[in-house]
Amino acid sequence: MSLGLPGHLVQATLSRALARASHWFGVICLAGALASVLALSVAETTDRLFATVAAIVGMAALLAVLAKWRTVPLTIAYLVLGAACTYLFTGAVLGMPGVFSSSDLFLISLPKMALIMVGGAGSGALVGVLWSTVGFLFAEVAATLAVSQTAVPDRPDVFSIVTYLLLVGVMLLDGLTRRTGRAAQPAIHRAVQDDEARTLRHDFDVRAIALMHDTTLNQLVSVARAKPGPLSRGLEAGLRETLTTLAERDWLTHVDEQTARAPIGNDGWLNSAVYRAIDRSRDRGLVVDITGDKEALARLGPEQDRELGLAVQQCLVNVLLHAGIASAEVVIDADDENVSVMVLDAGSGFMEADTGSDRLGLSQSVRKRIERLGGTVVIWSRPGAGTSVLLTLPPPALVPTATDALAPAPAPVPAPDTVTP
Amino acid sequence: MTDRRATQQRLDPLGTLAAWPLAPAVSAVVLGYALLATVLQADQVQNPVLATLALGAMAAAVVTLIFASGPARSPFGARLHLLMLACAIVAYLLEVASRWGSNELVQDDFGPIGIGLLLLALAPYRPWRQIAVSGAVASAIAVAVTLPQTGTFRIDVPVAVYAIVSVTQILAPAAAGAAYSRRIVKSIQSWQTDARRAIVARTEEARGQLARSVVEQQVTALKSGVIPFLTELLDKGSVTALDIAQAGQLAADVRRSLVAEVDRTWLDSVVSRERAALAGRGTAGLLVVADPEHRATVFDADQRAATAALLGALCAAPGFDPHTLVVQITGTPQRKAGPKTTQPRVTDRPPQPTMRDLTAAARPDSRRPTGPTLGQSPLGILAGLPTPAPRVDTITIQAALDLPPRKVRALLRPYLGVIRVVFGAVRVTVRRPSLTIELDGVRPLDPAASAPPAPATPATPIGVRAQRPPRQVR
Repeated sequence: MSLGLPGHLVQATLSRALARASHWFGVICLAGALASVLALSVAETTDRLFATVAAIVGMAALLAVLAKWRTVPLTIAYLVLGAACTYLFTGAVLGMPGVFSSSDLFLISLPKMALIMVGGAGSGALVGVLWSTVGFLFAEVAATLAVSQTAVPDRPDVFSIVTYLLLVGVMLLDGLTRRTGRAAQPAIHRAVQDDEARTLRHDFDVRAIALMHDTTLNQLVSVARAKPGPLSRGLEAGLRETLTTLAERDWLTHVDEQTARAPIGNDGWLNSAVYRAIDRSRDRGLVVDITGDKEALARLGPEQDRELGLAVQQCLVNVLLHAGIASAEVVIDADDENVSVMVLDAGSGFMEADTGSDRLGLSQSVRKRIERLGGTVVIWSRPGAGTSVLLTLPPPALVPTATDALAPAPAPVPAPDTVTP
Repeated sequence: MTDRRATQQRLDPLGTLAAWPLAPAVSAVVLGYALLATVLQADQVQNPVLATLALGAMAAAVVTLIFASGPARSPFGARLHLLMLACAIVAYLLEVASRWGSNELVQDDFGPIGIGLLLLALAPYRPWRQIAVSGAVASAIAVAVTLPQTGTFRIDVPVAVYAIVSVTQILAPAAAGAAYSRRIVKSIQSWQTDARRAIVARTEEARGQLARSVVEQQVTALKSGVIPFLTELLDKGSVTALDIAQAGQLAADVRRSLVAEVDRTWLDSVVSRERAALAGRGTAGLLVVADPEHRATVFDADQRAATAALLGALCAAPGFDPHTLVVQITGTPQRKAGPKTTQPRVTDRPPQPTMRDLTAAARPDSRRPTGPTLGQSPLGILAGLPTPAPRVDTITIQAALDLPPRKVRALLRPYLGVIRVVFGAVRVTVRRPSLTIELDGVRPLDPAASAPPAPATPATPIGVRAQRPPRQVR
């Protein structure tokens, strides 16, 4: 299966995987820390053994919770508790009289590394780096404080520093490198789609060929074998039957019953600019569900169709760029006066007021475009609650012959006089 | 792809390409640290030869990692994984041996941390279970070599603490690598399930259009000749000698076009679409498909899609000479085991089991009921055959691309990244301006897997049971 992750899902997916890796790294470190404390206490009881064990177990439990729900409050709680745990652990281990001669021990680094591997909330590479940096600083401060209260000299902790640099390096590499061949992913997606369509078409071809063979070819062969003179009764009946079968309706039934049963004329929809816009975002890996009265789009004039297509495309591009979600929904609705298209996603959402320059697309490419044609645009969005954009356009007055269901292209209705391209 | 073998590299080759600098970076850290640790702790080294050998073994592990994770080597196989792990463990053992009796601390040994980091670097390339098991085995070895060193260490703590230190250095990065591998594979698989569903739905949307265009094509072909002829006969109520001759002629024409259509493969469709695209850009292309044995039908959906994408990229590449593309499919004839039948090069022979029939029957998702098989049960063909050996079908793509070889490789890298995963072997030769890409599709003919496929649709083309194998018309 070569359907790799589409661009818009990469960052969130990598971030989840890296967080999961960090959490496991942290859990192993904490397990090591716990085992060490227990092993040390067998030899020599420290006064703070119970508190240290409790802190490590608590930290590990919080890490498990954080692994399940990566939220900001849990991340902060983990960092704070982790710092306390580091303080207790460092103090308890180094406080053992006459055992350790300096602080630069892997053993001491264990809770610190678990703190660096916080794998906090958020999906950006920079957010991940930020959390780890906070974890690193907390760990260093807690450890330095603890060491200063013991007789052991403080030495730089190479293990924590290297772990931190390694983690930051990996996060930046995964998050910031431009993926090689970003154009290739849509091309491969498209190729898989085309292959599916080709398979279906081949299936139809095979049925059509079978029908051709059973009817036309057999009939021609019978004629070729006949003797000159009047048609025999059998031959005449055969010819009649063949001609009936070849009549258009029967053809379709033989090739694809499903198509023959369905009302003819999905083509207005398939030829609309909105469909093409959706098609393009599907190539980029967005899963788009379409519901509603698709054929209503055939009522739009050519310019309306084109502009609506561009506006829908911009909405879908916004989903791809900002929502961080695999799917969107397009609902098409129509009444006597209006044709409307609603683009919904359950992604991250935004406040229209505090949109930056990268949201220019929504006001320029969507709002201005539709309003110029006499339509309206309504946007509902809230951070965390997804986004819905409703685009409404008044189609030109219906010309009786305008929507012939079999017409391959949207009916060429004269453009409304309000339009000046 | 079975779940146990699934890796990020196999599921998302393009995404893994982006992560490739990780392996050389980790390798540099591991090898650099090994050198540094050996030099800085030279006073602990008892046996310089063993210490040098340890460095050599670690260098071998690192080279294995870089080699196996290289974009040109994908996918990263189990053998190289084992080789890398074995080299790293040997390096660790040699290091311990070189300092036996005078090792002051475990934490500054380069072995455990080196093994851990190398296992971490496997995350995009290897299944999580194998990374985890590798970590566990290495940890057990670490415990086994740390415990006997009791008494030689500088700091007086229970030896268990030393064991914990060495195990944690291996296990923490290895667990992180395994967790990453598991998580990313799950994410990609769940996305692929969605994507598959979406692709099927999207095809269904165009179903009516497809069916109607097929009908239209057939009806157009008939309207010019056959339908008027038959209508006229019916109206006249009699046949003349001339009609009989014309009927024979029309029958021959129809048969010829049917046979041509039956023989059309996905590769013909792909190439004719590229031809149309080139014509649309204003350059008439001469794109040639040479597949006399119709081997195109044996490639699976992934291979078809990847090849189509590669051809599309080639035809759209700057510097592509549209008169030079040749796509050829050849295959090794059955060598030792297998049926005695020769390759059907002579086309006018009566239906007999041919390689093509066998492969069509062996393909579970075969939706292409090709001509000669139709009259026979695929099981019947397979019955009584000795166990067939794996077969190799090779797609050879040749084209002239007037670009520096470096640019050609950069252009093809993402596509080849995918292709290397779906094909058995890939060879690319760039000699400006000529470019040759060979893709080997290897298919073991497993009789168990070659049960006759249930027809995907009830549209078995009974009518195509032609008298002779329709393969001569191309």
